[in-house]
Amino acid sequence: MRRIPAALLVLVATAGAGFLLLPVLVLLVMGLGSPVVGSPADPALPQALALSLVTTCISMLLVLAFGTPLAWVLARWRFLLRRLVSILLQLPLVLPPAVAGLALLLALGRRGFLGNVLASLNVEIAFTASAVVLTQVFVAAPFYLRAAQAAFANVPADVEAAARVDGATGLALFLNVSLPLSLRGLGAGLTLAWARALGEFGATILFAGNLQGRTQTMPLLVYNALERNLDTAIQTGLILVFLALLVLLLANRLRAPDSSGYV
Amino acid sequence: MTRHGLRVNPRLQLTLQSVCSQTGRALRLARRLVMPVFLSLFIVLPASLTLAQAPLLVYAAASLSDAFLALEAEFERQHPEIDVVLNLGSSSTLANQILLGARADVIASADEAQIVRLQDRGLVSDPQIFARNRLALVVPSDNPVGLRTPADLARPGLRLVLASPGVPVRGYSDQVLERLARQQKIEVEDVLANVVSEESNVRQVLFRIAYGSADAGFVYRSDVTPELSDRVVIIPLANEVNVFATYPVAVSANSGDEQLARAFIAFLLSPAGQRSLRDHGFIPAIPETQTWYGPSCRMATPA
Repeated sequence: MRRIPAALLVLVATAGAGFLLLPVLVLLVMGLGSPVVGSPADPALPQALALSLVTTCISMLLVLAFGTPLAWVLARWRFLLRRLVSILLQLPLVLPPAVAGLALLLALGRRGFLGNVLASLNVEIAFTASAVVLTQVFVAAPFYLRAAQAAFANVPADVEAAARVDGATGLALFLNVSLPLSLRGLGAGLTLAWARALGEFGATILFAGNLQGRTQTMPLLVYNALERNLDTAIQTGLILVFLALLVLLLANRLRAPDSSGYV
Repeated sequence: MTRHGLRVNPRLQLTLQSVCSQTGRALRLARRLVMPVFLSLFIVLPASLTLAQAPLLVYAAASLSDAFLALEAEFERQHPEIDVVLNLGSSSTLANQILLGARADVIASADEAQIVRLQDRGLVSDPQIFARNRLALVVPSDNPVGLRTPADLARPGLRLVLASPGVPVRGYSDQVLERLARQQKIEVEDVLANVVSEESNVRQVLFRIAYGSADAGFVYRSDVTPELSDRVVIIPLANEVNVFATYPVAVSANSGDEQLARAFIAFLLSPAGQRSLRDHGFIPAIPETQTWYGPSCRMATPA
């Protein structure tokens, strides 16, 4: 056991890497090599692309607006059950998407827990782009929360103390010292959250439904197009692969040199 | 132990020490065994599944779910050595799986188009019609928008759920809508403008209605099971507007046991199988007592 022969090691490592890379490679080669790329797109494709981009942008604004203060509180304040709350908020990371969709439906659906309240406020969520956005926020926010919490916790205390000596307090201290020092971590977290939101499928199809141009995002189109047109599915898949690569490169660049997070 | 002047029998002390050290050894041994035992589970469990006899893979349309679960139990009772495994989904999904090379023994579809698609590529043989069905327009039991007649589907603001294009029940729904439009002087476009979601199979359409997410949808009559009668109400469709759904069954070309696949199909067409289908809301294909309104049947109906 102590000295694994190098040849065996190389073999197993190659097999592992091959398994992870092969499917995407085949998709790329099939997609780029076929006449699919130049052919006119299914009208559903530009609609899905636009919907995906718009909804994920709104989702990320919401994640930033609510996630940043939340991450700050979790990272800096000391209160009862802080660790437990912090762990529970990460639940959507490991929750099966179908369960997330079911939970959202039961909570916010028309006949759900808050259904009557929402109806009395004349708020229509089911089968609208709002449902798509809410689902994305639910599943993607923990990626940002985790990274932001770590980034805020890692701001050196003596830097902030020095700023305080110079008279900086409250919001000014946060905006001029703590935030700039956490920016890389926040960016990396947001990038990963965006990728998760863009790829969201299971919870969306359950909670928001599937309608071209209204709730049919890119991943839903891939699934739906399989029923009628494999080319559309491959085209959509190719775009998603390129976006995913972009996200990986960006997240890798943003990774703070001293952070130990997985990116 | 003797620090506080407490005198302990030396023999008891020895026993205690040995018990402690033995427990420690056992714990260390257990700790060393945890990982191997845990890892071997990953090998033993899948291996035991592989070693079991190959099951009879029956691909069945989502609308057949309840009926085929009962038929599976009955077939397994008659053939205790056989394990029937059902793959339930929209017929178009099932056909696509087989087109992409999935192994199957029997496929039972909710329309002829999927079987024809497979037959054209030589992937199935001997299609036979084993059941028929009718469509049902369903609304949640409290009928929130007060839908009275099928023509109300064109009313703006109503939330209609249909299956995705390509799924058999969508084809039947479109036929009903065309007939309805002709008969009731409404526009199909007005009805389609009310669609809020296109679901991947008929049971998901039913789910949207039964749990009140949507106001109306088209499913098969057999889908409205007695358990759902307090959640879902059927709005009657006139006979000349409604259509018949045709359910063909065929043997997959890559079947591992063609004889067994044929035995299952024979069981579907047997009086017991037909009775069970009828009990689950389907129209038996044998004996042929129903008037045929639908598109002409391209496949021979067994005598």
